Amino acid sequence: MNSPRFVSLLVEGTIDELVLRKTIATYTALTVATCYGKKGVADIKKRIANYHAAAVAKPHPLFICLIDLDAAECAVQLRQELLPNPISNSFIFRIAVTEVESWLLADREGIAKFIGAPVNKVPESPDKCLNPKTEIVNLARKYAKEKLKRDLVPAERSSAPVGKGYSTQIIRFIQEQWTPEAAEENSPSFAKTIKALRRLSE
Amino acid sequence: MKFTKIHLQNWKNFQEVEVDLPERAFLIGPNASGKSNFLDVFRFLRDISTPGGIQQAVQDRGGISKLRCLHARNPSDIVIRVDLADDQDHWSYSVVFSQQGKLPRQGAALVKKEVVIHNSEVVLNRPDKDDKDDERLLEQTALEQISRNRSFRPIVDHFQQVSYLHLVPQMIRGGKGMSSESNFPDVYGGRFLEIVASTTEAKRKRYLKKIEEVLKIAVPQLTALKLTTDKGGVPHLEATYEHWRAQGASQDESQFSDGTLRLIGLLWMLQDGAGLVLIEEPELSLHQAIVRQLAPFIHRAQTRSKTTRQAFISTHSVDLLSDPGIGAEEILLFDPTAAGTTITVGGAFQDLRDLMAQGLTAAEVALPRTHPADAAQMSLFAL
Repeated sequence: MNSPRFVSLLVEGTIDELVLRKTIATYTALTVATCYGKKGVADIKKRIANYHAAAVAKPHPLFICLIDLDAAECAVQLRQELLPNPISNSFIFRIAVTEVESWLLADREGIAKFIGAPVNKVPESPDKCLNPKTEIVNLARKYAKEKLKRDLVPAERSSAPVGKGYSTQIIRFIQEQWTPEAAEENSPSFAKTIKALRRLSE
Repeated sequence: MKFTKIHLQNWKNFQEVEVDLPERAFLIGPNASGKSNFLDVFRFLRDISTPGGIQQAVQDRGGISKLRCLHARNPSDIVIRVDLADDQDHWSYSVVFSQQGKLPRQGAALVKKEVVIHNSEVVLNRPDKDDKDDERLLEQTALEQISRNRSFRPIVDHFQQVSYLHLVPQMIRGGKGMSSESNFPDVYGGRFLEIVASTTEAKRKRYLKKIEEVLKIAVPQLTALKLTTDKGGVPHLEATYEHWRAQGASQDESQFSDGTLRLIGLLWMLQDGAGLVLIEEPELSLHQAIVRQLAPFIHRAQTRSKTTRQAFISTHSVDLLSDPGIGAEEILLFDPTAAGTTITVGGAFQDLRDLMAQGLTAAEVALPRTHPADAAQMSLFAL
Protein backbone atom coordinates (compact mmCIF):
# COMPACT_ATOMS: atom_id res chain seq x y z
CA MET A 1 0.00 0.00 0.00
CA ASN A 2 2.96 2.28 0.60
CA SER A 3 4.42 1.83 -2.86
CA PRO A 4 3.35 4.50 -5.31
CA ARG A 5 0.60 3.43 -7.66
CA PHE A 6 1.21 4.30 -11.25
CA VAL A 7 -1.25 5.42 -13.85
CA SER A 8 -0.82 5.91 -17.56
CA LEU A 9 -2.75 8.62 -19.37
CA LEU A 10 -4.30 8.57 -22.80
CA VAL A 11 -5.27 12.04 -23.99
CA GLU A 12 -5.89 14.17 -27.08
CA GLY A 13 -3.21 16.77 -26.47
CA THR A 14 -1.04 18.77 -24.10
CA ILE A 15 -3.86 20.85 -22.61
CA ASP A 16 -5.82 17.72 -21.65
CA GLU A 17 -2.63 16.16 -20.29
CA LEU A 18 -1.90 19.11 -18.01
CA VAL A 19 -5.48 19.33 -16.75
CA LEU A 20 -5.44 15.64 -15.93
CA ARG A 21 -2.01 15.78 -14.30
CA LYS A 22 -3.00 18.69 -12.08
CA THR A 23 -6.26 17.01 -11.14
CA ILE A 24 -4.54 13.74 -10.29
CA ALA A 25 -1.94 15.57 -8.21
CA THR A 26 -4.65 17.51 -6.37
CA TYR A 27 -6.97 14.65 -5.48
CA THR A 28 -4.94 11.44 -5.48
CA ALA A 29 -1.63 9.93 -4.46
CA LEU A 30 -1.19 8.36 -7.90
CA THR A 31 1.96 8.85 -9.94
CA VAL A 32 1.71 9.40 -13.67
CA ALA A 33 4.04 6.99 -15.46
CA THR A 34 3.56 7.74 -19.13
CA CYS A 35 1.24 9.91 -21.15
CA TYR A 36 0.15 8.35 -24.43
CA GLY A 37 -1.74 9.69 -27.40
CA LYS A 38 -1.46 13.45 -27.85
CA LYS A 39 -2.20 13.11 -31.53
CA GLY A 40 -5.77 14.33 -31.53
CA VAL A 41 -9.14 12.81 -30.96
CA ALA A 42 -9.31 10.85 -34.23
CA ASP A 43 -6.19 8.93 -33.25
CA ILE A 44 -7.60 8.04 -29.82
CA LYS A 45 -10.85 6.86 -31.32
CA LYS A 46 -8.93 4.64 -33.71
CA ARG A 47 -6.65 3.11 -31.07
CA ILE A 48 -8.60 3.17 -27.81
CA ALA A 49 -9.69 -0.46 -28.15
CA ASN A 50 -6.02 -1.52 -28.26
CA TYR A 51 -5.16 0.40 -25.10
CA HIS A 52 -8.23 -1.04 -23.42
CA ALA A 53 -7.24 -4.57 -24.46
CA ALA A 54 -3.83 -3.99 -22.88
CA ALA A 55 -5.50 -2.85 -19.65
CA VAL A 56 -7.64 -5.99 -19.66
CA ALA A 57 -4.62 -8.22 -20.21
CA LYS A 58 -2.54 -6.47 -17.55
CA PRO A 59 -4.32 -4.34 -14.96
CA HIS A 60 -1.20 -2.40 -13.98
CA PRO A 61 -0.53 0.38 -14.47
CA LEU A 62 -4.06 1.77 -14.51
CA PHE A 63 -5.16 3.70 -17.57
CA ILE A 64 -6.97 7.00 -17.44
CA CYS A 65 -8.33 8.17 -20.76
CA LEU A 66 -9.83 11.60 -21.22
CA ILE A 67 -11.56 12.74 -24.37
CA ASP A 68 -13.84 15.63 -25.26
CA LEU A 69 -17.50 15.04 -25.97
CA ASP A 70 -17.31 17.69 -28.68
CA ALA A 71 -20.23 17.47 -31.06
CA ALA A 72 -21.24 13.97 -30.00
CA GLU A 73 -24.80 13.87 -28.75
CA CYS A 74 -24.30 12.05 -25.51
CA ALA A 75 -21.51 10.70 -23.39
CA VAL A 76 -23.06 7.27 -22.83
CA GLN A 77 -23.45 6.72 -26.53
CA LEU A 78 -19.90 7.85 -27.26
CA ARG A 79 -18.58 5.41 -24.68
CA GLN A 80 -20.57 2.56 -26.20
CA GLU A 81 -19.21 3.35 -29.63
CA LEU A 82 -15.60 3.34 -28.53
CA LEU A 83 -15.31 0.67 -25.87
CA PRO A 84 -16.64 -2.79 -25.13
CA ASN A 85 -19.14 -3.31 -22.36
CA PRO A 86 -18.25 -3.71 -19.55
CA ILE A 87 -15.21 -1.50 -19.45
CA SER A 88 -12.26 -2.94 -17.53
CA ASN A 89 -11.88 -1.73 -13.95
CA SER A 90 -8.32 -0.80 -14.74
CA PHE A 91 -9.34 1.50 -17.57
CA ILE A 92 -10.87 4.76 -16.39
CA PHE A 93 -12.65 6.40 -19.30
CA ARG A 94 -13.76 10.00 -18.80
CA ILE A 95 -15.47 12.36 -21.17
CA ALA A 96 -15.17 16.11 -20.73
CA VAL A 97 -18.50 17.81 -21.40
CA THR A 98 -18.34 19.62 -23.76
CA GLU A 99 -14.55 19.76 -23.89
CA VAL A 100 -11.70 20.15 -21.47
CA GLU A 101 -11.99 23.94 -21.74
CA SER A 102 -15.36 23.58 -19.96
CA TRP A 103 -13.40 22.45 -16.91
CA LEU A 104 -11.17 25.50 -17.22
CA LEU A 105 -14.19 27.82 -17.47
CA ALA A 106 -15.62 26.06 -14.42
CA ASP A 107 -13.02 27.80 -12.30
CA ARG A 108 -15.00 30.98 -12.92
CA GLU A 109 -13.00 33.25 -10.68
CA GLY A 110 -9.71 31.90 -11.94
CA ILE A 111 -10.46 32.34 -15.62
CA ALA A 112 -12.09 35.74 -15.01
CA LYS A 113 -8.97 36.96 -13.26
CA PHE A 114 -6.72 35.46 -15.94
CA ILE A 115 -8.55 37.21 -18.75
CA GLY A 116 -9.46 40.33 -16.83
CA ALA A 117 -13.22 39.84 -17.21
CA PRO A 118 -15.93 40.28 -14.56
CA VAL A 119 -16.79 36.91 -12.93
CA ASN A 120 -20.48 37.25 -13.83
CA LYS A 121 -19.58 37.21 -17.51
CA VAL A 122 -18.16 33.67 -17.22
CA PRO A 123 -20.90 31.08 -17.91
CA GLU A 124 -22.35 29.54 -14.76
CA SER A 125 -22.77 26.10 -16.31
CA PRO A 126 -19.78 25.58 -18.57
CA ASP A 127 -20.83 21.98 -19.28
CA LYS A 128 -23.74 23.45 -21.21
CA CYS A 129 -21.56 25.62 -23.41
CA LEU A 130 -21.57 24.16 -26.90
CA ASN A 131 -18.23 25.70 -27.66
CA PRO A 132 -16.16 26.55 -24.60
CA LYS A 133 -13.07 27.44 -26.65
CA THR A 134 -15.06 30.14 -28.41
CA GLU A 135 -16.37 31.24 -25.02
CA ILE A 136 -12.80 31.82 -23.82
CA VAL A 137 -11.87 33.56 -27.06
CA ASN A 138 -14.94 35.82 -26.86
CA LEU A 139 -14.21 36.77 -23.26
CA ALA A 140 -10.68 37.64 -24.28
CA ARG A 141 -11.88 39.62 -27.27
CA LYS A 142 -14.02 41.74 -25.00
CA TYR A 143 -11.98 42.06 -21.83
CA ALA A 144 -8.37 40.96 -22.22
CA LYS A 145 -5.47 43.35 -22.37
CA GLU A 146 -3.83 43.86 -25.74
CA LYS A 147 -1.05 41.27 -25.46
CA LEU A 148 -3.22 38.47 -24.11
CA LYS A 149 -5.94 39.28 -26.62
CA ARG A 150 -3.44 39.05 -29.47
CA ASP A 151 -2.49 35.54 -28.31
CA LEU A 152 -5.99 34.19 -27.61
CA VAL A 153 -8.10 35.75 -30.36
CA PRO A 154 -7.64 34.69 -34.00
CA ALA A 155 -6.74 37.35 -36.52
CA GLU A 156 -9.62 38.84 -38.41
CA ARG A 157 -9.53 36.75 -41.53
CA SER A 158 -8.02 33.65 -39.96
CA SER A 159 -9.82 30.35 -40.38
CA ALA A 160 -8.38 29.15 -37.07
CA PRO A 161 -10.91 29.00 -34.22
CA VAL A 162 -8.40 30.37 -31.71
CA GLY A 163 -5.42 32.70 -31.78
CA LYS A 164 -1.83 31.74 -32.54
CA GLY A 165 -0.75 31.92 -28.91
CA TYR A 166 -3.83 30.19 -27.51
CA SER A 167 -2.10 26.98 -26.41
CA THR A 168 0.74 28.87 -24.76
CA GLN A 169 -1.59 31.05 -22.75
CA ILE A 170 -3.94 28.24 -21.75
CA ILE A 171 -0.99 26.11 -20.63
CA ARG A 172 0.20 29.04 -18.52
CA PHE A 173 -3.27 29.42 -17.05
CA ILE A 174 -3.52 25.72 -16.14
CA GLN A 175 -0.11 25.63 -14.56
CA GLU A 176 -0.24 28.89 -12.69
CA GLN A 177 -3.83 29.77 -11.90
CA TRP A 178 -6.41 27.10 -12.60
CA THR A 179 -7.81 25.64 -9.36
CA PRO A 180 -9.45 22.21 -9.67
CA GLU A 181 -11.30 22.63 -6.34
CA ALA A 182 -13.06 25.71 -7.69
CA ALA A 183 -13.84 24.05 -11.02
CA GLU A 184 -15.36 21.03 -9.26
CA GLU A 185 -18.29 23.14 -8.02
CA ASN A 186 -19.41 24.34 -11.43
CA SER A 187 -18.87 21.38 -13.72
CA PRO A 188 -20.78 18.14 -13.09
CA SER A 189 -18.66 16.29 -15.67
CA PHE A 190 -15.47 17.37 -13.88
CA ALA A 191 -16.95 16.50 -10.46
CA LYS A 192 -17.74 12.99 -11.72
CA THR A 193 -14.19 12.58 -12.99
CA ILE A 194 -12.81 13.62 -9.60
CA LYS A 195 -15.06 11.09 -7.91
CA ALA A 196 -13.76 8.36 -10.19
CA LEU A 197 -10.17 9.37 -9.52
CA ARG A 198 -10.72 9.46 -5.76
CA ARG A 199 -12.04 5.91 -5.86
CA LEU A 200 -8.73 4.82 -7.40
CA SER A 201 -6.83 6.28 -4.51
CA GLU A 202 -8.88 4.60 -1.82
CA MET B 1 29.30 -11.09 -37.40
CA LYS B 2 27.21 -8.92 -35.09
CA PHE B 3 27.65 -6.83 -32.01
CA THR B 4 25.56 -8.56 -29.34
CA LYS B 5 26.31 -6.49 -26.26
CA ILE B 6 28.06 -3.30 -25.28
CA HIS B 7 29.38 -2.12 -21.94
CA LEU B 8 30.59 1.46 -21.46
CA GLN B 9 32.11 3.29 -18.55
CA ASN B 10 32.76 7.02 -18.52
CA TRP B 11 32.14 7.41 -22.24
CA LYS B 12 30.64 10.82 -22.89
CA ASN B 13 27.03 10.85 -21.53
CA PHE B 14 27.35 7.41 -20.02
CA GLN B 15 28.80 6.78 -16.61
CA GLU B 16 28.09 3.08 -16.84
CA VAL B 17 25.77 1.29 -19.22
CA GLU B 18 25.42 -2.23 -20.50
CA VAL B 19 22.90 -3.14 -23.14
CA ASP B 20 22.05 -6.04 -25.44
CA LEU B 21 22.18 -5.12 -29.09
CA PRO B 22 19.59 -6.40 -31.57
CA GLU B 23 20.10 -6.81 -35.30
CA ARG B 24 18.21 -3.60 -35.89
CA ALA B 25 18.03 -0.99 -33.14
CA PHE B 26 16.07 2.23 -32.99
CA LEU B 27 17.63 4.74 -30.60
CA ILE B 28 15.11 7.09 -29.08
CA GLY B 29 15.44 9.72 -26.38
CA PRO B 30 15.34 13.45 -25.74
CA ASN B 31 17.75 15.83 -27.42
CA ALA B 32 21.31 15.63 -26.06
CA SER B 33 20.61 12.36 -24.26
CA GLY B 34 23.58 10.74 -26.03
CA LYS B 35 22.18 8.91 -29.04
CA SER B 36 24.89 10.26 -31.33
CA ASN B 37 27.55 9.69 -28.69
CA PHE B 38 26.41 6.10 -28.42
CA LEU B 39 26.70 5.63 -32.18
CA ASP B 40 30.11 7.27 -31.96
CA VAL B 41 31.46 4.37 -29.86
CA PHE B 42 31.18 2.12 -32.89
CA ARG B 43 32.88 4.68 -35.11
CA PHE B 44 35.55 4.94 -32.44
CA LEU B 45 36.10 1.18 -32.60
CA ARG B 46 36.47 1.50 -36.34
CA ASP B 47 38.89 4.39 -36.00
CA ILE B 48 41.12 2.64 -33.48
CA SER B 49 41.32 -0.34 -35.86
CA THR B 50 42.58 1.71 -38.78
CA PRO B 51 45.85 3.60 -39.45
CA GLY B 52 46.05 6.56 -37.12
CA GLY B 53 44.61 4.35 -34.44
CA ILE B 54 43.68 5.46 -30.98
CA GLN B 55 45.81 8.61 -30.97
CA GLN B 56 44.10 9.99 -34.07
CA ALA B 57 40.67 8.78 -32.93
CA VAL B 58 41.01 10.56 -29.60
CA GLN B 59 42.48 13.69 -31.14
CA ASP B 60 39.70 13.92 -33.72
CA ARG B 61 37.24 13.91 -30.87
CA GLY B 62 38.97 16.73 -29.03
CA GLY B 63 41.08 14.73 -26.61
CA ILE B 64 40.38 12.47 -23.65
CA SER B 65 38.72 15.25 -21.68
CA LYS B 66 36.00 15.51 -24.35
CA LEU B 67 35.43 11.76 -24.36
CA ARG B 68 35.29 11.26 -20.66
CA CYS B 69 31.89 11.32 -19.04
CA LEU B 70 31.04 14.57 -17.28
CA HIS B 71 29.61 12.51 -14.46
CA ALA B 72 32.83 10.52 -14.01
CA ARG B 73 34.90 10.87 -10.90
CA ASN B 74 38.23 12.28 -11.98
CA PRO B 75 40.60 10.94 -13.01
CA SER B 76 38.87 7.90 -14.38
CA ASP B 77 39.49 5.50 -17.18
CA ILE B 78 37.23 5.08 -20.16
CA VAL B 79 36.07 1.50 -20.65
CA ILE B 80 34.57 0.04 -23.81
CA ARG B 81 33.65 -3.61 -24.06
CA VAL B 82 31.76 -5.24 -26.89
CA ASP B 83 30.63 -8.80 -27.37
CA LEU B 84 30.35 -10.12 -30.90
CA ALA B 85 29.09 -13.31 -32.41
CA ASP B 86 28.54 -15.06 -35.70
CA ASP B 87 27.20 -18.51 -36.38
CA GLN B 88 30.18 -20.30 -34.86
CA ASP B 89 32.23 -17.92 -32.80
CA HIS B 90 31.88 -15.65 -29.83
CA TRP B 91 34.23 -12.76 -29.29
CA SER B 92 34.68 -10.20 -26.60
CA TYR B 93 36.85 -7.12 -27.02
CA SER B 94 37.55 -4.65 -24.26
CA VAL B 95 39.78 -1.64 -24.00
CA VAL B 96 40.49 0.58 -21.00
CA PHE B 97 42.24 3.84 -21.72
CA SER B 98 43.08 7.15 -20.22
CA GLN B 99 45.68 9.79 -20.92
CA GLN B 100 49.39 9.95 -20.36
CA GLY B 101 50.01 12.08 -17.31
CA LYS B 102 53.78 12.49 -17.63
CA LEU B 103 55.82 14.66 -19.95
CA PRO B 104 56.98 14.49 -22.66
CA ARG B 105 53.99 12.49 -23.88
CA GLN B 106 51.47 14.24 -21.66
CA GLY B 107 47.94 14.18 -23.03
CA ALA B 108 48.50 11.24 -25.39
CA ALA B 109 45.98 8.43 -25.13
CA LEU B 110 47.26 5.53 -23.09
CA VAL B 111 45.94 1.99 -23.28
CA LYS B 112 45.75 0.59 -19.77
CA LYS B 113 44.14 -2.73 -20.56
CA GLU B 114 43.12 -4.48 -23.70
CA VAL B 115 41.63 -7.94 -23.72
CA VAL B 116 40.29 -10.17 -26.48
CA ILE B 117 38.45 -13.37 -25.71
CA HIS B 118 37.68 -15.85 -28.48
CA ASN B 119 35.07 -18.41 -27.43
CA SER B 120 36.29 -18.74 -23.84
CA GLU B 121 39.99 -18.44 -24.65
CA VAL B 122 41.93 -15.29 -23.85
CA VAL B 123 43.86 -14.45 -27.01
CA LEU B 124 45.11 -11.03 -25.96
CA ASN B 125 45.76 -9.69 -22.50
CA ARG B 126 47.53 -6.36 -22.32
CA PRO B 127 49.68 -5.04 -20.84
CA ASP B 128 51.83 -8.02 -21.74
CA LYS B 129 55.56 -8.67 -21.86
CA ASP B 130 56.09 -6.58 -25.01
CA ASP B 131 54.33 -3.63 -23.40
CA LYS B 132 56.55 -3.90 -20.35
CA ASP B 133 59.62 -3.90 -22.56
CA ASP B 134 58.45 -0.89 -24.52
CA GLU B 135 55.88 1.33 -22.85
CA ARG B 136 55.32 3.34 -26.01
CA LEU B 137 53.43 0.35 -27.36
CA LEU B 138 50.64 1.29 -24.98
CA GLU B 139 50.00 4.36 -27.10
CA GLN B 140 48.48 2.02 -29.68
CA THR B 141 45.74 -0.56 -29.48
CA ALA B 142 46.53 -4.06 -30.63
CA LEU B 143 43.76 -3.58 -33.19
CA GLU B 144 45.87 -1.11 -35.11
CA GLN B 145 49.03 -3.24 -34.98
CA ILE B 146 48.91 -5.80 -37.77
CA SER B 147 51.69 -7.83 -36.19
CA ARG B 148 49.67 -8.26 -33.02
CA ASN B 149 46.08 -8.68 -34.18
CA ARG B 150 46.47 -11.86 -36.20
CA SER B 151 44.65 -14.09 -33.72
CA PHE B 152 41.57 -11.85 -33.75
CA ARG B 153 41.60 -10.46 -37.29
CA PRO B 154 37.88 -11.22 -37.84
CA ILE B 155 36.85 -8.64 -35.24
CA VAL B 156 39.35 -6.10 -36.57
CA ASP B 157 37.75 -6.53 -39.97
CA HIS B 158 34.32 -6.15 -38.47
CA PHE B 159 35.25 -2.93 -36.67
CA GLN B 160 36.75 -1.53 -39.85
CA GLN B 161 33.54 -2.16 -41.72
CA VAL B 162 31.40 0.06 -39.50
CA SER B 163 29.81 2.69 -41.68
CA TYR B 164 28.18 5.90 -40.67
CA LEU B 165 26.45 8.58 -42.56
CA HIS B 166 24.85 11.72 -41.33
CA LEU B 167 24.37 13.61 -44.48
CA VAL B 168 24.21 17.38 -44.31
CA PRO B 169 23.12 18.48 -47.77
CA GLN B 170 24.84 21.86 -47.42
CA MET B 171 28.19 20.12 -47.04
CA ILE B 172 27.77 17.97 -50.11
CA ARG B 173 26.80 20.90 -52.21
CA GLY B 174 29.58 22.94 -50.64
CA GLY B 175 29.88 24.96 -53.85
CA LYS B 176 32.66 22.75 -55.15
CA GLY B 177 30.91 19.46 -55.22
CA MET B 178 33.01 18.03 -52.46
CA SER B 179 34.45 19.07 -49.22
CA SER B 180 37.12 17.66 -46.99
CA GLU B 181 36.88 20.19 -44.20
CA SER B 182 35.94 17.70 -41.55
CA ASN B 183 38.46 15.64 -39.66
CA PHE B 184 36.07 12.76 -39.93
CA PRO B 185 35.79 11.45 -43.42
CA ASP B 186 32.29 10.25 -42.74
CA VAL B 187 30.75 13.02 -40.71
CA TYR B 188 28.03 14.96 -42.39
CA GLY B 189 28.75 13.29 -45.70
CA GLY B 190 31.41 15.81 -46.64
CA ARG B 191 33.24 13.22 -48.68
CA PHE B 192 30.16 11.50 -49.97
CA LEU B 193 30.76 12.30 -53.63
CA GLU B 194 34.36 11.23 -53.32
CA ILE B 195 33.21 7.88 -51.97
CA VAL B 196 30.80 7.49 -54.86
CA ALA B 197 33.51 8.41 -57.35
CA SER B 198 36.08 6.01 -55.91
CA THR B 199 33.75 3.02 -56.10
CA THR B 200 34.43 0.68 -59.00
CA GLU B 201 32.36 1.49 -62.03
CA ALA B 202 30.36 -1.73 -62.15
CA LYS B 203 29.43 -1.45 -58.49
CA ARG B 204 28.63 2.24 -58.79
CA LYS B 205 26.35 1.68 -61.74
CA ARG B 206 24.56 -1.06 -59.87
CA TYR B 207 24.09 1.08 -56.76
CA LEU B 208 22.98 4.14 -58.70
CA LYS B 209 20.52 2.04 -60.69
CA LYS B 210 18.90 0.88 -57.44
CA ILE B 211 18.89 4.39 -56.04
CA GLU B 212 17.31 5.63 -59.23
CA GLU B 213 14.51 3.09 -58.90
CA VAL B 214 13.68 4.22 -55.38
CA LEU B 215 14.10 7.90 -56.19
CA LYS B 216 11.58 7.58 -58.99
CA ILE B 217 9.01 6.75 -56.35
CA ALA B 218 10.04 9.49 -53.95
CA VAL B 219 10.76 12.17 -56.55
CA PRO B 220 8.12 11.65 -59.21
CA GLN B 221 9.72 13.62 -62.07
CA LEU B 222 13.16 12.07 -61.77
CA THR B 223 14.06 9.75 -64.60
CA ALA B 224 17.82 9.02 -64.39
CA LEU B 225 20.76 9.37 -62.02
CA LYS B 226 24.44 9.14 -62.90
CA LEU B 227 27.88 10.27 -61.84
CA THR B 228 29.67 12.78 -64.04
CA THR B 229 33.03 14.51 -63.75
CA ASP B 230 33.50 18.17 -64.55
CA LYS B 231 36.51 19.70 -66.34
CA GLY B 232 38.38 20.04 -63.07
CA GLY B 233 37.96 16.33 -62.38
CA VAL B 234 35.43 16.96 -59.61
CA PRO B 235 32.70 14.34 -59.43
CA HIS B 236 29.05 15.34 -59.55
CA LEU B 237 25.80 13.51 -59.33
CA GLU B 238 23.52 14.30 -62.20
CA ALA B 239 19.83 13.66 -62.32
CA THR B 240 17.55 13.99 -65.29
CA TYR B 241 14.06 15.23 -64.66
CA GLU B 242 11.12 14.87 -66.90
CA HIS B 243 9.81 18.35 -67.32
CA TRP B 244 7.48 20.13 -69.59
CA ARG B 245 10.43 20.41 -71.93
CA ALA B 246 10.65 17.59 -74.44
CA GLN B 247 14.32 16.87 -73.72
CA GLY B 248 13.89 16.89 -69.98
CA ALA B 249 16.36 18.81 -67.87
CA SER B 250 19.33 17.74 -65.83
CA GLN B 251 20.56 19.04 -62.51
CA ASP B 252 23.63 18.35 -60.44
CA GLU B 253 23.77 17.86 -56.70
CA SER B 254 24.01 21.59 -56.04
CA GLN B 255 20.43 21.86 -57.26
CA PHE B 256 19.03 18.76 -55.57
CA SER B 257 16.65 19.28 -52.70
CA ASP B 258 17.82 18.41 -49.19
CA GLY B 259 15.48 15.46 -49.14
CA THR B 260 16.72 14.08 -52.46
CA LEU B 261 20.35 14.34 -51.38
CA ARG B 262 19.74 12.70 -48.03
CA LEU B 263 17.78 9.90 -49.62
CA ILE B 264 20.57 9.28 -52.14
CA GLY B 265 23.11 9.12 -49.30
CA LEU B 266 21.01 6.74 -47.27
CA LEU B 267 20.33 4.45 -50.21
CA TRP B 268 23.99 4.39 -51.13
CA MET B 269 25.10 3.54 -47.65
CA LEU B 270 22.58 0.75 -47.22
CA GLN B 271 23.97 -0.94 -50.32
CA ASP B 272 27.64 -0.29 -49.69
CA GLY B 273 29.51 -2.57 -47.30
CA ALA B 274 28.57 -5.47 -45.08
CA GLY B 275 29.31 -4.31 -41.54
CA LEU B 276 27.29 -2.42 -38.97
CA VAL B 277 25.57 0.60 -40.42
CA LEU B 278 24.86 3.65 -38.26
CA ILE B 279 22.12 5.99 -39.39
CA GLU B 280 21.34 9.32 -37.77
CA GLU B 281 17.81 10.64 -38.05
CA PRO B 282 17.06 9.30 -41.53
CA GLU B 283 13.70 11.08 -41.40
CA LEU B 284 15.17 14.55 -41.88
CA SER B 285 13.86 16.44 -44.91
CA LEU B 286 11.88 13.44 -46.14
CA HIS B 287 8.18 13.29 -46.81
CA GLN B 288 6.07 11.45 -44.25
CA ALA B 289 5.00 8.87 -46.82
CA ILE B 290 8.65 7.95 -47.47
CA VAL B 291 9.59 7.97 -43.78
CA ARG B 292 6.79 5.54 -43.04
CA GLN B 293 8.45 3.04 -45.37
CA LEU B 294 11.97 3.44 -43.98
CA ALA B 295 11.87 0.76 -41.28
CA PRO B 296 10.81 -2.10 -43.59
CA PHE B 297 13.08 -0.69 -46.28
CA ILE B 298 16.12 -0.74 -43.98
CA HIS B 299 15.19 -4.28 -43.01
CA ARG B 300 15.22 -5.38 -46.63
CA ALA B 301 18.56 -3.69 -47.21
CA GLN B 302 19.96 -5.45 -44.12
CA THR B 303 18.89 -8.87 -45.29
CA ARG B 304 19.96 -8.40 -48.91
CA SER B 305 22.87 -10.83 -48.63
CA LYS B 306 23.15 -14.19 -46.90
CA THR B 307 24.37 -12.69 -43.66
CA THR B 308 22.15 -10.08 -42.10
CA ARG B 309 23.76 -6.70 -41.67
CA GLN B 310 23.32 -4.91 -38.37
CA ALA B 311 21.82 -1.41 -38.31
CA PHE B 312 21.47 1.17 -35.54
CA ILE B 313 19.19 4.09 -36.26
CA SER B 314 18.64 7.18 -34.16
CA THR B 315 15.27 8.83 -34.66
CA HIS B 316 12.63 11.18 -33.29
CA SER B 317 10.14 10.27 -35.97
CA VAL B 318 6.62 9.14 -35.18
CA ASP B 319 6.20 8.08 -38.78
CA LEU B 320 9.32 5.94 -38.84
CA LEU B 321 8.40 4.24 -35.57
CA SER B 322 4.80 3.65 -36.63
CA ASP B 323 5.78 0.58 -38.60
CA PRO B 324 4.05 -2.41 -37.04
CA GLY B 325 7.11 -4.60 -37.71
CA ILE B 326 9.19 -2.84 -35.07
CA GLY B 327 9.44 -4.88 -31.87
CA ALA B 328 9.92 -3.67 -28.30
CA GLU B 329 13.27 -5.50 -28.23
CA GLU B 330 14.51 -3.31 -31.09
CA ILE B 331 13.97 -0.08 -29.18
CA LEU B 332 16.79 1.43 -27.12
CA LEU B 333 15.46 4.09 -24.78
CA PHE B 334 17.91 6.80 -23.74
CA ASP B 335 17.08 8.43 -20.44
CA PRO B 336 19.26 11.27 -19.21
CA THR B 337 19.56 11.24 -15.41
CA ALA B 338 21.63 13.20 -12.92
CA ALA B 339 24.17 10.37 -12.95
CA GLY B 340 24.46 10.15 -16.72
CA THR B 341 22.28 8.65 -19.41
CA THR B 342 20.86 5.17 -18.99
CA ILE B 343 19.91 2.92 -21.89
CA THR B 344 17.11 0.38 -21.59
CA VAL B 345 15.87 -2.04 -24.19
CA GLY B 346 12.16 -1.44 -24.79
CA GLY B 347 11.46 -5.13 -24.24
CA ALA B 348 12.52 -4.72 -20.60
CA PHE B 349 9.38 -2.68 -19.90
CA GLN B 350 6.45 -5.00 -19.27
CA ASP B 351 3.79 -2.36 -19.97
CA LEU B 352 5.46 -1.43 -23.23
CA ARG B 353 5.47 -5.07 -24.30
CA ASP B 354 1.83 -5.46 -23.23
CA LEU B 355 0.73 -2.45 -25.24
CA MET B 356 2.65 -3.56 -28.30
CA ALA B 357 1.13 -7.01 -27.95
CA GLN B 358 -2.24 -5.29 -28.41
CA GLY B 359 -1.19 -3.85 -31.74
CA LEU B 360 0.04 -0.45 -30.63
CA THR B 361 3.23 0.74 -32.33
CA ALA B 362 6.62 1.80 -31.01
CA ALA B 363 5.70 5.36 -31.95
CA GLU B 364 2.62 5.20 -29.76
CA VAL B 365 4.10 3.53 -26.71
CA ALA B 366 7.88 4.05 -26.73
CA LEU B 367 8.18 7.65 -27.90
CA PRO B 368 5.94 9.00 -25.09
CA ARG B 369 8.38 7.53 -22.58
CA THR B 370 11.06 9.84 -23.92
CA HIS B 371 9.04 13.04 -23.71
CA PRO B 372 10.82 15.59 -21.55
CA ALA B 373 8.55 16.01 -18.54
CA ASP B 374 8.33 19.75 -18.88
CA ALA B 375 8.20 20.11 -22.65
CA ALA B 376 4.92 22.01 -22.34
CA GLN B 377 6.77 24.68 -20.42
CA MET B 378 8.70 25.55 -23.54
CA SER B 379 5.82 27.52 -24.91
CA LEU B 380 5.91 29.66 -21.79
CA PHE B 381 9.21 31.23 -22.72
CA ALA B 382 8.84 34.43 -24.59
CA LEU B 383 11.68 34.91 -27.03
